[in-house]
Amino acid sequence: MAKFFALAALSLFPCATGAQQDPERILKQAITLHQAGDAEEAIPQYRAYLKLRPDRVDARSNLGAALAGTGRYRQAIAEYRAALKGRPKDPGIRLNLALAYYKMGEISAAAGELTALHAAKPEDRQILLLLADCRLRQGENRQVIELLEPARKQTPDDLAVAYLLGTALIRDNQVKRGEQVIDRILRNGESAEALLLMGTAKLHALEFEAAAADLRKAAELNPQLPDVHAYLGLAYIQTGDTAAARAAFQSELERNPNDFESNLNLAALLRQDGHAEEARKLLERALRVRPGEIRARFQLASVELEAGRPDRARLELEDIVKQTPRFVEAHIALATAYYRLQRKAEGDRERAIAQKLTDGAMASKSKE
Amino acid sequence: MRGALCLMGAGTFLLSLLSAPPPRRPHFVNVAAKSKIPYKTNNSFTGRKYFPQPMCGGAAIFDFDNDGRLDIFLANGAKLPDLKKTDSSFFNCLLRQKSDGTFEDVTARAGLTGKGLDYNFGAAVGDYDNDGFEDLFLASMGPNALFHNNGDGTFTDVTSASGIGGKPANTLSVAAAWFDYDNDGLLDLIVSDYTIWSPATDVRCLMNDQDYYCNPHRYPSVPPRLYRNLGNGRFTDVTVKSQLARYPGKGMGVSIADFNGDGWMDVFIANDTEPNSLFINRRDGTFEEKGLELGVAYDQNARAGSSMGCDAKDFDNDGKVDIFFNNLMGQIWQLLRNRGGLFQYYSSISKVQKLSMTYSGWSAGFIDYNNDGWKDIYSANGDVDMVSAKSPQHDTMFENTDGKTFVDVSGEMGEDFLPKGYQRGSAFGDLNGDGALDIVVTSLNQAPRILMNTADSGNHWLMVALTGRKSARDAIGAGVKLTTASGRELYNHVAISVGFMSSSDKRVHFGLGEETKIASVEIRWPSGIVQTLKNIEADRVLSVEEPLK
Repeated sequence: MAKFFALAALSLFPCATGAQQDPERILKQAITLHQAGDAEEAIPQYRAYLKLRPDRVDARSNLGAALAGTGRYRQAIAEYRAALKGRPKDPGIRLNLALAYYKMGEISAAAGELTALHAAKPEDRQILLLLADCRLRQGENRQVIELLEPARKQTPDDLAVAYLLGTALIRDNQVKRGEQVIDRILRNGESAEALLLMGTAKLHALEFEAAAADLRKAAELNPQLPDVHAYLGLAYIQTGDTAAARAAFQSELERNPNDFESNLNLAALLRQDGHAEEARKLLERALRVRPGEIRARFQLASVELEAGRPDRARLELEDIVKQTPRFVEAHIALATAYYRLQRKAEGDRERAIAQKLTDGAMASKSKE
Repeated sequence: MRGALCLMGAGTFLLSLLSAPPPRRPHFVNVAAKSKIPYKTNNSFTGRKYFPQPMCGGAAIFDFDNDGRLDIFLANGAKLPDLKKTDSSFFNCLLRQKSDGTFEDVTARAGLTGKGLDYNFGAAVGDYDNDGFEDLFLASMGPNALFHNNGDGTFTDVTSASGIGGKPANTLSVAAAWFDYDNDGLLDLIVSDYTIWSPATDVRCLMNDQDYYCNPHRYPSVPPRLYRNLGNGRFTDVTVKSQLARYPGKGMGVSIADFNGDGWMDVFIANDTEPNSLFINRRDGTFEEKGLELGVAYDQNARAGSSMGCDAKDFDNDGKVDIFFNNLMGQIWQLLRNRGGLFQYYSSISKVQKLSMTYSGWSAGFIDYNNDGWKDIYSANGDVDMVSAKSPQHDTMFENTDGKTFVDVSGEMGEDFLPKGYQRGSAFGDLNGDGALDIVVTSLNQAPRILMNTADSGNHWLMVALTGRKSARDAIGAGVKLTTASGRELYNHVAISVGFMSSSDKRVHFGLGEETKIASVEIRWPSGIVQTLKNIEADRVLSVEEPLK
């Protein structure tokens, strides 16, 4: 009851009472509320305190944690960053900042913070695993392998390490090595994790129906398993079942809205079915996870083309081909954009480049 | 009371069991065995794999002797590497339909064995001299050939005299289509050329000492060739003049239609491993290739597939001509919906993507096999090479349920529809005059199948037989809009070149579902003349001559 009154008084007369309150009492109230799980009520208390004591790093860090606890990651990031200005080497604040980035889907920024943390504390398993997971999400499989190989040697029974390393190896097309690593997980019986890895391996081996069967079973055993629905979606795409693929990607995004592959592939499916605006939203999210990722940018340009905005597509595609001049599909899409803009000569030029690249690739293949 | 209700419920349940069996689909029965047919598709496979071998067995359905019954022509290969029809097993075949519905071999009498020819692929039917008798062009490795129908059951090889035989040395021509590109009332000819090849330049591809058919990229692409009909039995090669020479590809199926509704015929060519071509008629004797711009050149991810057979028809009855083409397993058969300018990738929405992934398709076509007014998709299937248990395949029928979605009903098409093999050519036409479309299919090194539609859907139909007067007599590309008494609008057009290497009956077929009255039939002739006929009964062949005004 006393607590109720105190809070009510604060919220009714925040300006009149703020100056008269003992700052340390406000902080204590904030911490008590926060520890009691009432982050929503703790936030104004922290803010009131920080108005009086703006240089208190712990309080600002706590405010960041309370904001993150209520899902306001963007605001949390701002508070953590401000806190780090006061205490740049604080690993706890940096880890919280990394986690906030991670939750926001800003994997690249999260990886940056975690890299610094890992350099400072290479023995910290949590940081190592989080960093490896970020790199995996960024598609940087080789870096994951480099990160985790030493850990695997030290702790061969660590299933989390085996899982991440095995996944990275398989995604890097080192299927045999990947299978050796995940063998440890398989020995523990038919788990969702094992089925996910087997399904992934079969996907890489182009056994799409079999991959879909394993991944379906994995998703049934543990629907919360990260990436399981995303890989199931990829398997369904290869079997041509786009409706099932869409459902699978949607399932993944319900659990992990920032999963890059699910955002990208669901967007591609929506685009080809004529849902350009829905596709665009997903691609924008994918690009927050992996800023500048070329496949997502290409899909975004394709959305513009299909939505009847060839000029916007052109701008994006011109930049893409500048960055990745051997990206045949981008040249083809750019040619299409030019033709639709009645810029025939440029369309012909891009078309010729695409043809030349294709012919070159085929000639190399023939030599093999 | 409660007991009475229970009884009534049980009675209703029983009644529903008795009165609503699952609807049985019409299916197909192979009647080839009732006739003595000497033909087997012969691609000269003896272990050594030559590049053109996977292609053989063009088919055509047409009434060559104007007796009112449709006949069948089948093209054949040649001995390799000799490239000669060294014995009768390589002969082409003309089957005349007799009054009892069986077929007799009249090839030799008609002069169509092709004994002096090389390896023949596609058969293109068209009355190029407007004399009322259908002539025949054969696309070939080696010289192409034009046979003039003499009107007495025989044909004369007029290749040299016509000027249509010329092409760059060793051009491998696989298919062709007749159409009047300049609207002068005379059928011109476009030939879908694939590459430059000869037994001497054949690349041998080996894996673990086993031959396999090489990737087409080993061979150069070539443009299609266009021959303009000069009107005196002579043709002139206008490939360069028409601008087609600028657009090389690896031509397979060729479809003729007025894609942009301007009254001039355009051309779609499915290219193997190359972007497809959509040649838009510029109405001045030239074409502009707009496949990329209009969204038909590549798949939905800007990649070129192994496009094979194709057809261009209005599958959703919105008045605009759509495109279908098939390709190899693992790729996606493309259904492209014409949105009045650009084409929309429709394979995913329509379920064709899911249905097609495991098949390698060759000749294919939109046919309303069950006369419900929606055009279904038939495909003759079988992989390029004989490398795995998945290579031999059966035909497929994807039924168009509502103009938006397709379902695979192949399993219900009867056992004669389902033999596995390397199916290649296919042609469509109502062989027995019951109003349902039948299919002739060839398969590598097998006898052909003549698949009669059981026509037991109970649905009604109309067949429109057009005779051009100002337009070319075959009226290829003439658009027909049919409005039923209930107001349902159906669209189709005259199309002979359908699928791959094949020619179908030129008459325009409409399934009408349960309707028996037709409010109107509107014909847009290639000449630009629009003709409307009203109050027509269903279940008949409606013969229409083009008015001169």
